[in-house]
Amino acid sequence: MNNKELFQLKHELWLKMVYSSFAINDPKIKDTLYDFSNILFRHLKWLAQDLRANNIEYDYSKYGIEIEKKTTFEYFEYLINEIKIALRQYGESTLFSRIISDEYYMIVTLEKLLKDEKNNQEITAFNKQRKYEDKNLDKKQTDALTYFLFEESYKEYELIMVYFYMQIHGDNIVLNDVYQDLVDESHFHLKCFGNMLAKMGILNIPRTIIKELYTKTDIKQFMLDGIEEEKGAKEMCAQLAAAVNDEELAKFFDFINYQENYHIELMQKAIKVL
Amino acid sequence: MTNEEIAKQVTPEVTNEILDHMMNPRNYGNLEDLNCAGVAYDEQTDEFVSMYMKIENDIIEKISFGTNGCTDTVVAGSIFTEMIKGDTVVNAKIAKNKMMEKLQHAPEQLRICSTMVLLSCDACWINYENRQKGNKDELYKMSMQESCQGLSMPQEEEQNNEQ
Repeated sequence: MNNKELFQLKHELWLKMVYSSFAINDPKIKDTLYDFSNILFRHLKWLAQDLRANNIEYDYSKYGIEIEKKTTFEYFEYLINEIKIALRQYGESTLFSRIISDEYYMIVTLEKLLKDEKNNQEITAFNKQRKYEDKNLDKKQTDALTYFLFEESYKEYELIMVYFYMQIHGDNIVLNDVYQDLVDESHFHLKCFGNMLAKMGILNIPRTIIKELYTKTDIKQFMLDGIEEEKGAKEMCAQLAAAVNDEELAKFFDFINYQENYHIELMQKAIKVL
Repeated sequence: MTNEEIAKQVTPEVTNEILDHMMNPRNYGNLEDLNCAGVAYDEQTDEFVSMYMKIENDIIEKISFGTNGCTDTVVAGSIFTEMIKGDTVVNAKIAKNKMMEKLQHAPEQLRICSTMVLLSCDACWINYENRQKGNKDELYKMSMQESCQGLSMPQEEEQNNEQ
């Protein structure tokens, strides 16, 4: 397996880990898997930097990921198996030594979780119930929330990967700092929306990102379009906050809405540099 | 505008079938051995649908699509590609025209997003015919006459008035 193929495998492994964390209800196990997913994302970044240093192009192609499982134990076994597959692909380098060490620890942790029957819990993230906690949402409100979560969870994944690509392919320190902030913010939003999708029983892996989106050469135009999209996302948050008619959810969407405001500020900062 | 009206304007109804296509879009992504490709493009929003097909003996043997558009576009692409996969181009064109007629009564955003999917099929078939005549263009691109820009967003004033 060459490093470009390895990038795809690691990209898929990150998605498998992060979406497994969304799918699992137990907060402690969820946190553990989410921490692991953050480590795997850093691996992906270092691997991408290595590929760029060697002038090897990579893309965000991915095979179909079957993320639906019935129990937490099925997730642990699945993740152990996927990590073992990755472990067979690494060559010899300081980076690979680090990755191998991290992934061995992940396997040890997952195997330990497998030994305690209390950790074997039912998964409800795919039951399509579309009930959000104890909220009493009617059909229209539920549909509005469903559309919002599908739209925005994909969008956050797309933003993570597009800014990540720009960061790897850019050399400007100010710009890369802005990209990092935007990636970090989108990770948080993806986590929020992913967990909400799971609570609604409609968790799904985001679709593949079209290559034209992240290989755009006119970054300034991309940022200008991004500002318009952020304004759109703000509007969607405001609409949803009004539509769901629930104080707690409305506060959450207002919170996200204000975060989108600052994304616009960050993008404007980037445009000044471009 | 009431909250209920806002919710109605923002989203079409989510039926079980739509939810299924949202969670598992069919025929999404690249196609390795395509022999025609088309793009429908909305200049105002920069949104596009790329359609890829492998047509052999007038049968659409393989089909896939990609988009940077919204969930409505993905669902429309998933449903329509599934509908015409394995059928003849002639039948697919009939299905497309029937779909266009039905869409006249659909909510505006759904109609425009679905039209973009259907237009990308047209572009794909034009590219196929051109290739049959010896044209070597990799794809055929068509611009949308209408845009969904701003459609899902009620005017700010109206929201404020309601509040």
